[in-house]
Amino acid sequence: MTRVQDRFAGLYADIYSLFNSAPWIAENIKTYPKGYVSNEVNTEYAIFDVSSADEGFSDSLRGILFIDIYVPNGLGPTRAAKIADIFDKYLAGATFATNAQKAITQFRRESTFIIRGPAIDNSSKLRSTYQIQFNYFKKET
Amino acid sequence: MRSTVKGYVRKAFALLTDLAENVDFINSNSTGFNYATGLPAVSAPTTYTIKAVVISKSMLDPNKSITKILVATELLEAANIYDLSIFDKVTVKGVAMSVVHSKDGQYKITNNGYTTTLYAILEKS
Repeated sequence: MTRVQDRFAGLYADIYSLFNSAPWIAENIKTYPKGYVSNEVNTEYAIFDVSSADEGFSDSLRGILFIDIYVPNGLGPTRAAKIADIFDKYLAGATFATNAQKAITQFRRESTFIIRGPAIDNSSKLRSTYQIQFNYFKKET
Repeated sequence: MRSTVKGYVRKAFALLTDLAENVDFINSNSTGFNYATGLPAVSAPTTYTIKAVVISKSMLDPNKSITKILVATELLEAANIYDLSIFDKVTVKGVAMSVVHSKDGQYKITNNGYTTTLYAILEKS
């Protein structure tokens, strides 16, 4: 039996491919992976985190993409909701396959959006969360 | 009153003479996350050399030491530095260490308006 290889890196590569795409860059929503520390000053931005677990079939994965959306606090939730809609536009029901021979990542159509309130470490920002489930299908080789 | 306290801090740092040493504060100047490479995009780092005092150095475990560094806030402001969290590394006596960015607990960067305290970690590779 061969060992599982590259499935987590493959999953991240698929997610990165969205944020590296020209249409997403044109949306001008600064989006960073958790663990990256930005020196940039942005009035609004998003930080994503991936939680994944074994699918139990053919080395595939399933999980949730968590995205924290930060917008200026005090202006209400409208802008955060619009950004969540933009994430929906690119993620809900979408498929990514940077290496289609080996695997594909498919996002479900259902997503969740919650306004959380002022960010704990910076009350000038309103934090909200967007979540969407995905499956990473590793193909038999 | 504020200027009086600042004056005392200035005088205290002057009295420290060689106990205060030049510490390099290094900002790696990340310009975003490069999704093509999966790594931060960086330009040339910026280094500020500021007189600072190493307050303590202790071992967290056999491979990791933490150093507490005290800086006169006035010296930072004179260099147009208002937030030490922008720095990734410091160099003390030629040894490069990583600045601790902690939001809570004992290793948080603190600034009382007169002195700024930060922590830096050195790990054996």
